[in-house]
This record gives sequence, C-alpha cells and structure tokens, in this order.
Amino acid sequence: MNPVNPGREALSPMSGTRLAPWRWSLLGRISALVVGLVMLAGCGSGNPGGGFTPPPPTPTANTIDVAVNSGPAFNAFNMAYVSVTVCNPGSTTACATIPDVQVDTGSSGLRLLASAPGLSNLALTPVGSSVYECYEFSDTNYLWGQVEQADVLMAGEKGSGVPIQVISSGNAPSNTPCGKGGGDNLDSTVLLQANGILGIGPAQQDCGAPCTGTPPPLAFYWLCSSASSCPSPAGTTTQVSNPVASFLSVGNNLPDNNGIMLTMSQVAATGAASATGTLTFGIGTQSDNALSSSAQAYAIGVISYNSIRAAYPAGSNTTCPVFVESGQGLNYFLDAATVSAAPAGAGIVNCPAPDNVLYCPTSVVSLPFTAEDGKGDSAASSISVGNGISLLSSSVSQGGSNTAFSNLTGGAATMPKPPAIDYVVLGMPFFYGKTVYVGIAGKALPTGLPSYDAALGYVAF
Amino acid sequence: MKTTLRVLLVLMLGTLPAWATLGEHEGSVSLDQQVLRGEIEEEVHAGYKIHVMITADGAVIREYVSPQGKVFAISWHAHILPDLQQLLGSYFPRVRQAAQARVQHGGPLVIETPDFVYFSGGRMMDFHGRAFVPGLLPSNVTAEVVR
Repeated sequence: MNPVNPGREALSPMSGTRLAPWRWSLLGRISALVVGLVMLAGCGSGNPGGGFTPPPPTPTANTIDVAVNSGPAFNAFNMAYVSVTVCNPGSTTACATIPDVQVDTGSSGLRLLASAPGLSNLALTPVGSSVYECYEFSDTNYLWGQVEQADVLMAGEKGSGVPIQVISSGNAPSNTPCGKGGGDNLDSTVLLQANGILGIGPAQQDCGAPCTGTPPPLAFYWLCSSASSCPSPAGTTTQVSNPVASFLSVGNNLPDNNGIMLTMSQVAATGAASATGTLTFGIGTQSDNALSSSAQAYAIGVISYNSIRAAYPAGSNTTCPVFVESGQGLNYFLDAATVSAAPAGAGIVNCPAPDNVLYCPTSVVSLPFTAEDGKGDSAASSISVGNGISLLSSSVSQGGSNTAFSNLTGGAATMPKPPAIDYVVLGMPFFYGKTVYVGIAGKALPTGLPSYDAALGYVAF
Repeated sequence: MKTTLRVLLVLMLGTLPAWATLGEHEGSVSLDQQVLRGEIEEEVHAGYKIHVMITADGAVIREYVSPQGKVFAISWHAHILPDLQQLLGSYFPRVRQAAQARVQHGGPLVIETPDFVYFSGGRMMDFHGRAFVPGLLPSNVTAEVVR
C-alpha cells in the first residue's frame, strides 16, 4: 500500500516559488491590508453620573433566509438557496430580486444567469471595455460571461457597484480556456441548478494579483468585442468580487463586511425533503452575529489556496488540505484505501460504477479528523458517511422527494491507486446542524481572534 | 526508482514536438503552440520516462512514456485547466460523457474502467488530475508512479 501524503501533492502547484512568484507578492499585498481588531460599539460603558442610559442602537437587518430544495429546475440536492436583489448602480428602483441563488462559501463573487428573472430589464454597468470572465470547474464545465457592476442588496445590507459575472447564453469563444476545454457553459437553470452562485468565501476577489498586468499571469478575464469575439486576455484590477466585502447597513452605514455566518437546520440520516437556514452578514459587528465561544477559527491558506487542513486519522501528523464549501453537494474525503485503513473508517468502500465517486458503506460511519490551520489552532471534528447510492435513490432527480442529505460523502476509488483524492471538501452535508463562519481576508476581526486570521481570511465552526 | 538522468530542454515554439497525447506515440501530436511556450524537462526513470512541462501560466503537466514510446499516463497541476482535449485525445469524450452524466456540477470526477482510469479535482487556482491507460503500463511499472 502506498502511504499517502495528501498534503504534498496539492501543495505543489501553488507553493513552488519558481512556478508562481506572483503568489508571494499577493500574500504581501494582502498582509498589508491587515487591519486591527474591530472596536465594537461599547454599549453601556461607564456612565458614572447614572441617569440617562442611551438605548442600544436598533439592530439592522443583517439576516436572510436560506432554503435547501430542488431548486428552479427541480433537479437539485444539497444546494442552499437565497434571494439576491441587484440594482442598476445608484438606482433604488431599477432592481430585480433573483431567487434560488446558490450560497457558496468556497468561491468569491456573485454570478447570475443572464436569463435570471428580471435581470434583462436592468442596465448594469459594464466593467472597462467589455471584459468577460472564464470561470472553470474541474470537470471542464464553466461559467462564461461579462463582468458588470451592480448594487447588491440582501437583508438590510447594500454593496455598491459590486463587479458581478452575468453568465452568457452559449459557449465561450474557442480561443479561451473555457471554449477550448471541451466543456459546456452552465448557462441554464437545468445545468446550473440555480439562477446563480453567491460566492461568499474568504477571498475579496475571485483571482487577485495574478489577474492584473499586461499580459496577466493568469487568463481568467478576456477583452471581448462581443461574447463570441475575444482577442486577448485582460489584466484587470476590477474583478468579480465577494459582495459581502462591500456590505454596509442601509440604515446606519455600519460595516457588516467582514464575513458571514451560515446556520443550517439538522437533517435526518436518511435525508429530508428540505432544510432551512439563516445567512447572517458580519461577524462580531452586531448583537446577533458574535463569534460563538464554542467555535474554533482556522486561518486560511497555510497549506494551500483557500484551504485549512485536516489530520487523518484524527491526531496523526498526516495532513491534507480542507476546503469548506457549501457549494459542493457532497463531502469529499480522501480515498477509500486511506480512509478504511484507519479503525474508524472500517467498511468504507466506493459505490459501484458509475457512482465511483460516492462511498457506499453498509451502515452510517462517523469519520473523526482533526481540523487545524498550521498556526496552532486545532479541534476535533467529524463527517458522517452514509450509503451514497441508497441516499440518492430517494432524491428528487431519481423520482423521490428528498433534497437534503447530511451524510453524503465520496472520495476516490480504492483500486487501482492512484487516483487518490488527496484532499478533503467539507461540502453542504457538513453544514447541517451547525453554524459555520467565514471571515473575509483583510477585514476587521472580531474580538479574540489572532491577527493572522485577517491575512487570507478564516473559517470557524 | 529515483531519477537517474535529467535532461533540460528549453523548447521554443514548434521545435522538437516531444509532446503527445494519452495512448498515442510520443511525439505524435504537438500541443498547440501557445501551450508549448514553456520548459520541458525530461526525467528518465527505470522502465519509463516523464516529460515535465511547465507552461507560461504555471501549469505543471507530466506525460509518462513507456520504452515503446507510448504515452501511458498524464498528470496536471494547474491554476487554469490545461487543454484536456489535447492531452487526453481519444479518451476525452469519456470525460465529457461522465461530466454530463453527473447529477451535480463541480466537484471531483472519477472514472474507473478497465482501459481508462481518470481523476480530476480542485478549483480555479488549484486544479489537479491524473489519467492512465492500464493496458499500456510498462512491465514492472505500477500506476502509483503517476503523480
């Protein structure tokens, strides 16, 4: 058996200074933005004269309902949806409220289908001279569309002039990585299983420094005269951005821009027809969004881009990157050979083809691991692994009624090795029954968190 | 099974088409010229060799070649997906078929068949994947060498 050292492989593409010198300048840039601890409004600080005590400020609306259901095309599972209102920049009347936008803590930026309800009635402001983005997924599918600025409103929060991606209909030009990759633009509710994606991850922008310059080191963005004619990659400082990083309370202009907390209801082991939750903006900025003393915060990016890390088996020094992504419908946890070699993982096997990526134990197995960030912060955690085929047989897409599954977990197949999935994704199943916080890089930290959590952001649970 | 010899070749556009497609002969197909704008390092191992290419956008692509000159495996680590149609050739339609058949977009993709094994995962800034053809593995070489 090949001893797996999961961290090493995933680290290599990003850690080699020879390969990506810009990454270090990016780190430097972000570090420069680190700000001090936020000074919370001190209600009731000493008033020696007694007498009048001002009432606490009226809390601003900073929460919005989250729903897990079959989505706009009735084909989804484990997708958490919210409504997002977008307006022409500066307007309070030229607005559209888009339902069924997927909440994704693993990416940054709002992406909406051009065909989303009401969007075609707006006149958003294009960024630069017609900049398009190629946003790829690992399975060769992608999102292709123009970058435009909108005012983004959720609950009582407003982000002004936020660059978003409006996903075009049709495939990308063949000279772009999207168009020549052979995949499809996820340009419909059937393909995307949503009207859009609300990326509220720890990064402020979806690319950062590597997408600036002429030519840019990375070609995410393209200069296009139309959606189908794009001669060259565009280096741009105006990138699709996490809207929360711009959020101010409409009533009092308080910044609720340093992160989010996502609280989800419990889901039964056999699945549920739906689930509900609450998305709260700001962490430690109002009376309703304090960082719980029972939550452990983990700094992002210590091992690789946008990740924390895990030790498996729990307490061991074998570590791998961990991505905390509500946008993923499954947890992904290493590979069956690695998992089943530990006592807790006995019985973990892959499902038969074509569902190789799912795990199919005969009964539900709890896999403990140690979550950590390489800075000394660590805590015990676990995921639950049920029988993937059995669970999904009750899903809406297979004629059942369930859309929420708390123990749907996959990983690479056992034989032959490799391939081995050498990382962990804590997907939507992980979020049920708990509160997960995502702190945005470069923003104010809630009281009690170490300053390194501001460099690249943090997650807490 | 450590590297016994390293030859560094800096390829200029279009010269020495040492790049090939999975399952085909080494040198049979060149990557397109834009992608080829990089450095190729040839690693010679016991029983096989690897062409390691580092592209202008920082992708590291490895092509594993048998003594018979056949490409038996490919791997990649990249910020932007490499041209998988080019790298996987006739096997690429199977990847597309699997991507279209899945119930949810995104996430890792695993294909395990007797004649083609594939894994891809990651996200923008951090993609990685491997593919190999079991029937083309050189004798005394296991798929575990594909990294």
